[in-house]
Amino acid sequence: MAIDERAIVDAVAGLELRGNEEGLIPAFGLHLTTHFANYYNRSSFAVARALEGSGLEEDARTLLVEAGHVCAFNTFGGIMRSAEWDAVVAPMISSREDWIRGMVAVINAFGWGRWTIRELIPDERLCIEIENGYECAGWLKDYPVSHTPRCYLAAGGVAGLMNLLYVGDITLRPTLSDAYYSELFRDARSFGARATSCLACGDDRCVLVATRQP
Amino acid sequence: MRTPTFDADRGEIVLGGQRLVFHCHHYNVALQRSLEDALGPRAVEIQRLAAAETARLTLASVFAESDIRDFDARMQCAASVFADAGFGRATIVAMTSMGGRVEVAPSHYALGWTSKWGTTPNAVDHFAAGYFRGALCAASEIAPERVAVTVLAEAAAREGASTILSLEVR
Amino acid sequence: MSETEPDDRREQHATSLQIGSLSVSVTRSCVRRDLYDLTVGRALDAALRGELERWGAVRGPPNLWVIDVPQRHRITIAPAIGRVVILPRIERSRDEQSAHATEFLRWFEQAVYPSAERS
Repeated sequence: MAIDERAIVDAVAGLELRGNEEGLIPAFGLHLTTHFANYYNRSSFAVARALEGSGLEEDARTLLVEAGHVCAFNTFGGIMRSAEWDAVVAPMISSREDWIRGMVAVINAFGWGRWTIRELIPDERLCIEIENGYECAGWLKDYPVSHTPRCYLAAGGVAGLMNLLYVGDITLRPTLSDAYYSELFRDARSFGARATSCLACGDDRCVLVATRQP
Repeated sequence: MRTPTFDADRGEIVLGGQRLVFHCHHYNVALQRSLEDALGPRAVEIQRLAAAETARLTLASVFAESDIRDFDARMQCAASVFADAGFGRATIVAMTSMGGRVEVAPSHYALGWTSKWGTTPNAVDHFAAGYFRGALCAASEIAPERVAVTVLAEAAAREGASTILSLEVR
Repeated sequence: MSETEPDDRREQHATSLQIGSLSVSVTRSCVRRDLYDLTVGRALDAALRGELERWGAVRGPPNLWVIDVPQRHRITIAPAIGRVVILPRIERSRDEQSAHATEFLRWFEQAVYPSAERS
């Protein structure tokens, strides 16, 4: 069975994820929030802008993308180990690469814009196209066209997908420990992602490419 | 409308004209820590202002769309939106249009922080502080700079603690 | 400065709990609560969904059953493989979390393994 993205999006959206009587959203073995995109954007862009012109631009990017790595590792990893995944996505999986296809379908229920896999070369390269990504759509609402990509979380997420599958092996349902995080994201074989197009820079969408970092 | 709408074709969830996105506590507190690593104490005000502005804009729309005009009902609605979004349970205490107190327990940010890094004497609940500052602005329809928020206690300080916010209109 | 040990770094390994024929993995999950996880290794009878209503409204599509029990926990079931995950409420003590999960799992074990099958 192929990955049926619409069925996955409908199933996740149909979970009606909202706070319980404690004001918390326990799902996928995690505690979720339906957070304000603008909050993330204002906070993240404040860091990026504060360090621009100081020679520390790349450090700001590294910090923000690193938060995206943490997100991918724990959120994507947690989802891929969850009962919800076993119920909805796992029955559609017929290849290792379907783990990424399935996770991208779940992401498309998260309000992050529309993610589409343009290219997936196993263990080598992942190219994701994002329409209406919340980071860059938010940038364009509040700031002039950017000279540099602003899809920080997305870059961390795209790299994280590859690291979960090809540096580690999420299909074996490993414990998502600090040590395992280091193994996946601090290894010579770790993937990193860069934007080749970016909505914030005036392109019509973001395109992120994950490859092994030299 | 207090229920977010989801547009699958655009990958967009919207409440009160503002985009919402799912994220879990791992990312929320990791991003917060990154901001503080980069900017130090300045990061606190940046996060509070971002939360206040977003809450004010969202809630003003929600109040208008749902025709909620009464001040108390507006503050209760703000607490419901906060809880529905998974930020924790907020109790509005002795609140008037001139200010009052909000208690948050459990708090998503505090739970996230303590689960990853343990309890801390430092302030963590910047989002809640900013959110309820924005909520009071929207409920009273006053300029944002007139509302001051003071954090009297933090849920991340010890197991079972609450975040207590004091709001004052100047 | 951290005053207590964070939950995420301790007891990430699972302990196990035996409830009749069920082997339940118990892990210190993220955010101050344990997580109960078991797989019976076979598909659950679709009729079980109706029986689960005694614990609360069962939501979700036919391939994903979710029961939210206020003040107790959220139960997520993947019926095709018989996996059950229980996420207790944060405000319950660990003893209460365990008692509530055990109460449900005792019932679930009886429902999945009727006495005739057990013998």
